[in-house]
Amino acid sequence: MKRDLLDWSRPHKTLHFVIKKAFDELLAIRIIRFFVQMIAFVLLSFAAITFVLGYNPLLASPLAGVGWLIPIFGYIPLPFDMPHGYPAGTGTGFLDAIMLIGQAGMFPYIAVGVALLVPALVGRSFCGWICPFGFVQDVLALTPIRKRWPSAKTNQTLSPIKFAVLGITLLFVFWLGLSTFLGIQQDLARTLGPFATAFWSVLSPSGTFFVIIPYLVITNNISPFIANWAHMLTWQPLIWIRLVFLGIILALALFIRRPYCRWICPEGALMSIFSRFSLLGVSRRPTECPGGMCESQRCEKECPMGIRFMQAPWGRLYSGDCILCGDCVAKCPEHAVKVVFP
Amino acid sequence: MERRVIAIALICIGLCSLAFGLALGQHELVRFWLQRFSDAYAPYFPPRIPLL
Repeated sequence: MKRDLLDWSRPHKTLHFVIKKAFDELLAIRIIRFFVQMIAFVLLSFAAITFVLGYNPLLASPLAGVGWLIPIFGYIPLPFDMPHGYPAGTGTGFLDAIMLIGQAGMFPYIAVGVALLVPALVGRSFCGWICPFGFVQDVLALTPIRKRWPSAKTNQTLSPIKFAVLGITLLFVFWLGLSTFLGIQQDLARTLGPFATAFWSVLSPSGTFFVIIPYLVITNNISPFIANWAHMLTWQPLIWIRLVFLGIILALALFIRRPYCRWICPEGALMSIFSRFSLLGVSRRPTECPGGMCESQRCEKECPMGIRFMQAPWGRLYSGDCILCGDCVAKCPEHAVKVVFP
Repeated sequence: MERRVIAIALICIGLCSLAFGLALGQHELVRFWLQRFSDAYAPYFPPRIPLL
C-alpha cells in the first residue's frame, strides 16, 4: 500500500501521501505536547522575560512574578508542582498553598478544591502537559543517551515513596497548624528550624531548580563563589543537600523518563488518589489490539510513567499514574488506544 | 459507571470547597502567606557580599 502511494507515476496520489504523512508527523501528540509545555513554561515564568528585559523582580516586590498572568483567577493554586517563591513565577502549586494555609491553622479550602476538582475532571493531564518541572525532565529525556526502562517491580517498590513524602508533608502541615491554633508556633518554629515553614519546600528539587538557583543567579550570590570556589564551602549544608538531591533527579532524568513524577512528587501522589476516577482518560480497544498479544507493545514501552497497559483490563485505563501525555495513543501501531471522555 | 459517579461527586465537592474558600477570601490569604514566606528561604542562602 505504502509502495503504491509512493509510485511517482501517479504524482497526485504520491503527493497526497506525502502531505498526509507530513501532517501526521506534525500533529503527532508528542510534538504538540512539547509545544504546549514550552508555551506553558514561558507563561509560568513570565517574570523571567521582564527580568531579561531589564526589570528585576526582586527589587520591585519579593514575589513580583506571582499572579501576573492570572489576574482573573487571582491566587488560585495551580494543579501541578510549582514551588512558591519562584522569583520569575506567575503562580504557585496547590500543595504549597496547602502547606502555607494549613500551617496558619486554617483549612485550605481552595487548594483542596483544586486537588479534588482537577484530577476528577481531567486526571493528571496538567502533569503531562503543563508542569514546568515535568517539562524539564522531558527535555532531559531528549538527550541521545540510551534510556533505561525500570521493571514493574522497581516501579512498584519505589512508587510508595511519593505517598510517604505526601504523608510526612501533610503531617507537618497538621502539626504546624495545630501549634498555631494552640499559640505555640514560635516555640515549635525554633525546634523545627527551616522545616517550620513548609516541610517539602525545604527539600523539593523543583524548589531548588526554580527558587534557589534563580535567586543565587539574580542576586549575584553565585559569581564570587565561582571566582573563588573555596567560598562555596561556606554554604549552608541544606543548600548542598538540596543541590545534590536535584543533581540526582536531573541525572536520573537523562536515563529514565520522568523519575521525579514516578517516584517522588507529592503533588502527583495526591492527584493520583483522585485521578483514577477521572472523566478524561485513555482506553484500549480489544477489536484493534490483536488479542492483547501485540509484539511491539509500544503503549507500554513509550509510557513515561512505566504503566503496564497490556496487563490492565480491556477498555478504560484506571491508573493514578497516568499523566495523559498521549504517547501510547500516538505510538500504538494498531491505533487501538484512544482518548475517551467521560 | 460507579467510577463516573465518584468522579462527579469529587467534582461537586471540589467546586463547593473552591467556592467556600473564595467566599472566605482564602485566595488573598495565599498571597499574604506567599509574601510572608518569600523571605523564608533567605537565611539558607550564602552571604550576598563576597567574604573579603
